[in-house]
Amino acid sequence: MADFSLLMAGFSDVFTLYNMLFILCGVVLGQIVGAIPGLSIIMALAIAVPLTYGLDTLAAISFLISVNKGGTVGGAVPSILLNVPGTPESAATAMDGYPMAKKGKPMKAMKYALYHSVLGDLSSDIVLILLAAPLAVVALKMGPIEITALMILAFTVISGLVGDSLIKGLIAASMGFLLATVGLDPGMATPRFTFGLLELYDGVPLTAVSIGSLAMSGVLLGLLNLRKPDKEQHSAVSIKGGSREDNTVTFAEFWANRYVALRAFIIGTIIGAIPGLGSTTAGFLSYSVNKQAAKDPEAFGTGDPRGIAASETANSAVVGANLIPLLTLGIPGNIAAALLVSAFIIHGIQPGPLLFEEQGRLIYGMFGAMLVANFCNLGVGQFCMRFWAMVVSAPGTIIYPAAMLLCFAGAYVITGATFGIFVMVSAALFGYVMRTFGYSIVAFIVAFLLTPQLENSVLKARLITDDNPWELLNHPVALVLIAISVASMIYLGPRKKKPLDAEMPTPTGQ
Amino acid sequence: MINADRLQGVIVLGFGCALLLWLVPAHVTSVPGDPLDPSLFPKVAGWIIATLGLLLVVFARSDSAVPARQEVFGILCFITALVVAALFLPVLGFLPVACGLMIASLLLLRERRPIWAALTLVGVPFFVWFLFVVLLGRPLS
Repeated sequence: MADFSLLMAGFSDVFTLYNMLFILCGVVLGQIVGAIPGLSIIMALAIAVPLTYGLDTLAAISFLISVNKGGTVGGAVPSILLNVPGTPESAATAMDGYPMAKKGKPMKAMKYALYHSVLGDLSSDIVLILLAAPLAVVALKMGPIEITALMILAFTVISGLVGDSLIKGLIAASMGFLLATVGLDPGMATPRFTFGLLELYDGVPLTAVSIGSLAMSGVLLGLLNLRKPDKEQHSAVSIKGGSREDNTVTFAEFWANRYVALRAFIIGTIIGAIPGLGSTTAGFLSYSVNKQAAKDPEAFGTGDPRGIAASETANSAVVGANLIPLLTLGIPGNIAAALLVSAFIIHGIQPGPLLFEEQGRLIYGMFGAMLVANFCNLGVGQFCMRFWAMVVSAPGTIIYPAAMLLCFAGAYVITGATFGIFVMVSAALFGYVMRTFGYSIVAFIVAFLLTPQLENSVLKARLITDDNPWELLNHPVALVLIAISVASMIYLGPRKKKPLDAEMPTPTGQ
Repeated sequence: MINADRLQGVIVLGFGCALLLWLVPAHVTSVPGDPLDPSLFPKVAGWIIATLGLLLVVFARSDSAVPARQEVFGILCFITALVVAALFLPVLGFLPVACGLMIASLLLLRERRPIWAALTLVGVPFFVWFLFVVLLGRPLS
């Protein structure tokens, strides 16, 4: 069990001016980026990773987590004011947020979103704090054979759950798998696919690949949309005017949605803990479940605060819960967690169950930072919502070139040479092709990230079993995990899958 | 007209075969039978990619989208601008290259509003330079 003094020491580490400043900066940056339609939290995280190179580990991780948390709050602003989700996670919020704003209560809708987002996020962080250490103890009992089986399961589930097609998901994962083999091999230290380039001996830089495939490819698509002559113009609902009652949410109004928030929190936390699913799914699923559970479902979609509460609580509850597989098993549950892994790796830390033993103080510090970031999110959101309402109208002709230049500079900083930029540009082109043809970038990045660990586990497993496959019969946990992998491949198999979102109502005008 | 998914399947299958027949034998040391064989994972990747390519050919969907020619041209323009900027970065330094990249972006986006254009051209490069070099102490060239 967790050492209480270690826990307190970790928590107290957060309360330095230096760390608090980075938490605040992260929250502000996340809320701004979330509020700009077209920029996503993932883009912000990918661009933010190189900014953390010179920082202390705790400050770096706190900053990135704060960006992620801020983004979930900021993303609701354009959903409510423009009916255009700032981030995919906030798409369900638009269904009731925008009608409420149109009724003359935009500030009230944004405050409903803020309070429920912080509530969902805080609750799921508490679940993470309570569950992660005990689960990590269980995970530590697993040997290389079980870990290999677990990795195979993670590959299959993530490839099947993200995107519309299991085959394309697996192709994306295989490409990540292949790319991760570039560099010196872990067994004999001979070069693989280095083509005589010394820069490739350490492998392809993960951060440059992340910036290119996640951020730059999205920026390029955004730039292309700006070039389209017939692009749709959205005008924001004005936040000026409105009575005091229209601009505030009383405790009674907030408390009235407690059962909706509870259901949404449970859905968000469960979905967050399953690798491959994400905030968008949680938001829509929670909206749908709460609508079905309501006595007056017809009120949903007309500016009902329960719709905002359902979506925002659930999509924010994913943020904490998606760190459960990362901290206990070393498997990033979604792309935000994968980017956190890259930050961990930059600072010489390998995520997984050993983290609690080797870096306990840092992890408890990170938990403390998560809790502090929630309150920062609330404070910054409370005071800055009006400013973010202006940010939604910022022109793309300045936003996208700025994001492009940040990616360019970030990629240079990673390697200290133009090599990082060339990797980033190649990854951007590859990411664009993947996005265009429906291949999952999430599966690609997660596979790229997990393969070195998988290769090490396979190597150890082969040495332990002396290459005798029948040895597997002595490892029932591994057998069960492989059976689940096969079952999930059959269940998620090559069929025309109806996307979850297609079954959900969509915001007006979307 | 060729189905886009089927065409992608053929390309993926071809890439998998190229891996197995040329890239792995030529660029990875192979020690067959050794548990530490460095070519194991690349070979596994080759087989998986080739098999999945074949499966994509068989299970191709009929409704997969294809990007417009103009979109592809736009992407290539931005990629070219980035590559040229990267090539000139060690020679000219960050600020001139960043301003050049911003000019290219503004031209490609056909921005005509002078204030926004000026902000993008001057403000953005200085902001990024200030952030990395001054605030974070990371050299940019």
